[in-house]
Amino acid sequence: MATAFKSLASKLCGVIVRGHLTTKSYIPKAHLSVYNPKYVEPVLDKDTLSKGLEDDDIRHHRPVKAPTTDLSISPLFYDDDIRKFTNMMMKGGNKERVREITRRLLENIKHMQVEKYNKTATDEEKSQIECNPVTIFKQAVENCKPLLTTIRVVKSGVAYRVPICARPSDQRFRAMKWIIESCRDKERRIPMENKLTWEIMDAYNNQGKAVRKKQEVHRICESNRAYAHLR
Amino acid sequence: MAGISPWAVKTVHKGTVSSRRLFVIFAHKRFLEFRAQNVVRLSSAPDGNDRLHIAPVTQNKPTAKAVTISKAMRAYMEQARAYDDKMKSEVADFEIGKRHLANIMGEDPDSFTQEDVDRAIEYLLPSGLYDKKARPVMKDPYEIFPKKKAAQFGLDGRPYHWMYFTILPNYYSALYEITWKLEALKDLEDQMRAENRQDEMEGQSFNTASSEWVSLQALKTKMVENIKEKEYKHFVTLMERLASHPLSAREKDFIMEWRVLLQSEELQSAVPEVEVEEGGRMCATASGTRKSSNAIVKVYMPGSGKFNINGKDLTYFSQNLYRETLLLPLVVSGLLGKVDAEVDVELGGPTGQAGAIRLGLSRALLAFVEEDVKEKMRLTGLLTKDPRKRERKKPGQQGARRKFTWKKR
Repeated sequence: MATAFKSLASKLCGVIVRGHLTTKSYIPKAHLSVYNPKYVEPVLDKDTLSKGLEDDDIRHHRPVKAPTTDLSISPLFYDDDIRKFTNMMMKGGNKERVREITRRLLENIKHMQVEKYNKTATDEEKSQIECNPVTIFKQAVENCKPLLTTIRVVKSGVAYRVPICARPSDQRFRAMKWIIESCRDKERRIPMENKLTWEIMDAYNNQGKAVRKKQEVHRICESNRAYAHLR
Repeated sequence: MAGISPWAVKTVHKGTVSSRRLFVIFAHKRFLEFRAQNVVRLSSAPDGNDRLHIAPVTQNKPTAKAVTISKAMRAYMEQARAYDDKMKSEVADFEIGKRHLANIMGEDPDSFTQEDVDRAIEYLLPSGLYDKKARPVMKDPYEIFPKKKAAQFGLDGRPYHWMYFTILPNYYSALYEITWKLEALKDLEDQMRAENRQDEMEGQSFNTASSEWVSLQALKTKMVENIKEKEYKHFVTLMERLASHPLSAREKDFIMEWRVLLQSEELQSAVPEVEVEEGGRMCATASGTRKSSNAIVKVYMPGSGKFNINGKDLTYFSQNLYRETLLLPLVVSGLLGKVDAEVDVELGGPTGQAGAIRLGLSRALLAFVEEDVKEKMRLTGLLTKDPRKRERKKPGQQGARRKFTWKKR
């Protein structure tokens, strides 16, 4: 009886002590948002809205942030990847122009694919051709996403490039940045939307500058794999 | 050793007093009678009086002891008396002060309420201090002076609570209770798993989405103990563990004791009244703001989707981006093309104006939509005022955040 109680007591103490250990820090994290941390992100997904959230969803009980100006249910710019891509392309706050470029880019892709579709003879080949420009765009970005990146770690005065897993947000950022940069390097006279169209079609087929950039990063990570333990 | 519990004897270990629990002074004669009946150990106190250290004394047995009050209890009673006296005089002062105040304000002293007091103080002693706690105040003394805990020990000085010496008995006994409940749930879970009854555990987890843990302040008040931030975090961690257990629904009542129901977030703006115009057309008016722009939106139902923004249609905004922003509430509520809107917007740029119109439009549309659509609009964030503003420039910096180029020399 006594031993049983003792073991239980030690178990309980363990629970309490572990509680202390698991709560790492009591210092609240700094947050720069004007919103109270209780606010949740707005729901702008059409499907979710029409279906409705579940009854026990926390968002029913929390205040919601106001959507930003560019978060509208526009058929084109609603997509988060496309919105991000557009904003990354922007220079000097000229959003109207980049929106126009994105619109033309998707239009170009659509034209190209439909043309290809009409020129093919057999149904089997036709079914292979993707005609949705948004899907093509997403696949192109997906193909450019690096799995690994390197960080700089200084150990005893020597800087090492240590390979680490890339975070999803980082992956998206890198992929889009490479696509945009590779187009900026090209001939200046050609309109941006045309350059982007080629680049994205290349990336869709796992070719082109952006994909090569990704492979180069992978190669660097591979050659520095000996330092992986430094991360 | 008849009638004496072993530990009572133990308290007079080696002839010295090792317990402060009970000091009973006997008259010598009665003591001798008592000693004749019982075998007890004695100790000689320095002052020559024989003292018998026995505690606790059972109620039903006739004892030969005078009940005395422990030092701790005496000290507490003195404190309590002082507190009561102080509060009495404070209350008397407050009552007189209130009557004076009523006379100064030229009102009836008998029907002068606390609200009147607050108003009078604000009027007579205007304060420009920002913090509300720093402003002059006149309230019932019981609200201003902190309440005192009642004595936690009896006349004999023995604490009532078994966790008295942890300093936070209520807090620690709560932790104790939570831990035991958690252990019981774990045992039950093990047992159910051993008997292959996992499917019974489905849906036995308590969903806590609609409530949140009591705040530190509330916990302090509830336990009447000075609980620190660290202890509060510990409490919440332990409670979280209990609440996230797969069988936590069994302890639902206990968990809800420590949780506060979240008000299902009220619609931030009141639903505007519907006016009926000539010809049976309904209309509702609401206003919205964003950045420095203000908009007043009047929505007509039924309509054909016409917009009139400062005398122009949607082309008031040259960019599609702003037109889309503006149409968002109509798309979400499914009233696109079914209502007309007349908008009066001023100040700010296109972003601010579009946002202001969007907020005003959303609020005005509330008059014409069902409850579920209202919730939908709330989830889209349309009824929230965007609180973001331009951040001010700071001295010594180029802008709000940007610093001047740093040169060492």
